[in-house]
Amino acid sequence: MPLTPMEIYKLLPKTNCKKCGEQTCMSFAFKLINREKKLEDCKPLFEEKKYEIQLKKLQEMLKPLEKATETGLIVNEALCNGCGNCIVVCPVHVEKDPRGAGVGKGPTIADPIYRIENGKLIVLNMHACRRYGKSRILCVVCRENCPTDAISFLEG
Amino acid sequence: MLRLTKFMKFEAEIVVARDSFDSSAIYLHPEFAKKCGIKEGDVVSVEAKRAVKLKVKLSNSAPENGGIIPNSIFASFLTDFENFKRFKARIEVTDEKESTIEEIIEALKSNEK
Amino acid sequence: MICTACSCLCDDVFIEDGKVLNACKRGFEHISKFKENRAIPRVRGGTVDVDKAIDEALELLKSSKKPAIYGLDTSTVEAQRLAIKIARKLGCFIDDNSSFCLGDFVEMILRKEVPTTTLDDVRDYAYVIIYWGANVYQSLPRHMSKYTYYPRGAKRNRGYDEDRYLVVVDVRKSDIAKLAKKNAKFIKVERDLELVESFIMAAEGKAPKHIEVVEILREMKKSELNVLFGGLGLKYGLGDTKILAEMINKVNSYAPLAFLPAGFHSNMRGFNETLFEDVGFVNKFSFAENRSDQRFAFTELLKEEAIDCAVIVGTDPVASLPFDISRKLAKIKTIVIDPKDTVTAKLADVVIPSAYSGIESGGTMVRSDGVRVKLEPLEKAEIDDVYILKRILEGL
Repeated sequence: MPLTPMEIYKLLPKTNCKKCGEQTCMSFAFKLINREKKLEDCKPLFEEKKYEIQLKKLQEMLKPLEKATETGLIVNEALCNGCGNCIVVCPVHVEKDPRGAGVGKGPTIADPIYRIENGKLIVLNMHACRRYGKSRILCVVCRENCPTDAISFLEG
Repeated sequence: MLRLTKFMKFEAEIVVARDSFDSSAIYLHPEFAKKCGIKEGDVVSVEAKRAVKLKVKLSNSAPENGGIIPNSIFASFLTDFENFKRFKARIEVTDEKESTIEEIIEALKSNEK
Repeated sequence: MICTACSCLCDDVFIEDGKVLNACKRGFEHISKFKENRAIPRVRGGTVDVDKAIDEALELLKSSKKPAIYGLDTSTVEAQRLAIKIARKLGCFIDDNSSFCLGDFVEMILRKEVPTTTLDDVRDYAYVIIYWGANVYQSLPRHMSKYTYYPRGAKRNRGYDEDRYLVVVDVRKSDIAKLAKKNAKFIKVERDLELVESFIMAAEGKAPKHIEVVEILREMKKSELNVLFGGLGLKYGLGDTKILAEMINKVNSYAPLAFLPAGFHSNMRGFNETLFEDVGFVNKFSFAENRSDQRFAFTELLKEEAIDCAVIVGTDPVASLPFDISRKLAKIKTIVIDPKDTVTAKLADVVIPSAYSGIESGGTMVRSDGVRVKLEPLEKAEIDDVYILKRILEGL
């Protein structure tokens, strides 16, 4: 299940107190998902007792963030069949490895984003992913072509 | 805990699939399992021509009113040639252990020669 | 190496730092677990050496009145040729899994009753790609990513969402049906025949029952190559291939459509082709009567109790055939030649352990589209199918 800023926002104090350095709680929620801010940055949440239950829920909700890569990617190995659809559809692979992954083969470049190792999808180089860094694009092509939903992203 | 569903048999549609699934399990559709009160990890008795006991797993690609049994000796044990790929079975939760390949070989041998 | 886990025979698999790269889960299990659960030479349950097991097999064959040879779908073409020679010498039956799998489809192609193509041409040129009764995500995991829908090809270089049109036909929303999104169709069928008839009607310009077929045909018109992959679901759904051949040819009078089988073991097509080259039939053949017949299918022979001895090579019928048939198999003499300690081996009179083709033994296999592939084994076992079958042929 992708985590949305809205779901997080609902559990925040919603006071727009700006103590975290953001203008609004909503923008704090966005930054949380992008892992540019930590939950601890929201001081009232930890200091005020009335937010105790909300805090617990938030901590639970944000747990998958720890498992995810910096691009928000989570691979559920148990669901992966190693079909390689994700590798072949990846636009970065197509561009950088047109004679390898681009034509359906296993990647032939040294630093592909994905590779199938021992029958399962492995994330090798997420820095090359279009979702990485400041000017990122929320590309979901790999996820969309996984028949078993072994690939998910924290946001959309 | 006493479970009401324990004493109930459910009619299920079974598809035999040549899949890379775990061959000693039955993959029920989550909706169907829910309806029957069967949980992942339960052992169910699957009864068609004969009966085997299989561990329950869930899969969305299973038929909505039943499950998938991977093509294995367990699927073979349940079927005849006319209903090789698809058949109807009765399913109920059991406390017994899963069937083993050895048990089925014994059943084969008991009729041997 | 060439992965021999299924009929895709993927050629880009290799091992690096102890990791198997590029192979799917199925391929990985095949390649990494070949040392597990190995067969040991046995005669009636007692362990013997290989020579003794081969001698005992020869004795059983010599004293048998009506033997059959069965399997060979994971053996090389070279081993298949030897097995056919043995069958000829014994004047016996020979059959493989294709008689209840996709043998009819391969026969249709070898007899040139329908146009066909190769997977490489599919990758380079095909536009409309139809999977009918074949959930390749499970049976041939890399089929779509390596050969059909996803790769960019010579004339199909803009990616799947623009340069391909996917059609999935199945009785259920299979794994690959979930991939039929944009520029694609999933047709859920109860009766395959109705859809076949719809294609025929639409090609004739009549209004079909399944109206989506009209659009599919219109899409086909845009390309010089379209392909239909037929799986077990289609074979069992139709029963008879005649109407399918008629449909494919009718569609071709309107727009190009090539046919390929989708499914099966690594070298099942090899068996079909090897036997076809020799006797003109793809399976269920009797050298005594010099013809093929449904009655000579291994399962029928067992059902009718028409054989008294079976040589079973690289297949596990007890695990895959209906129980009543296995029960009949348990009544006759059985010789199992297999690298693996299969369920059938546990019941056999004689077990001769062999090697895994493609991993421990080389030779040639035939991909599902008829392309011949030379295996690149990691090891070279002394005793493999060829060695064993040669010894049997010479000993008879």
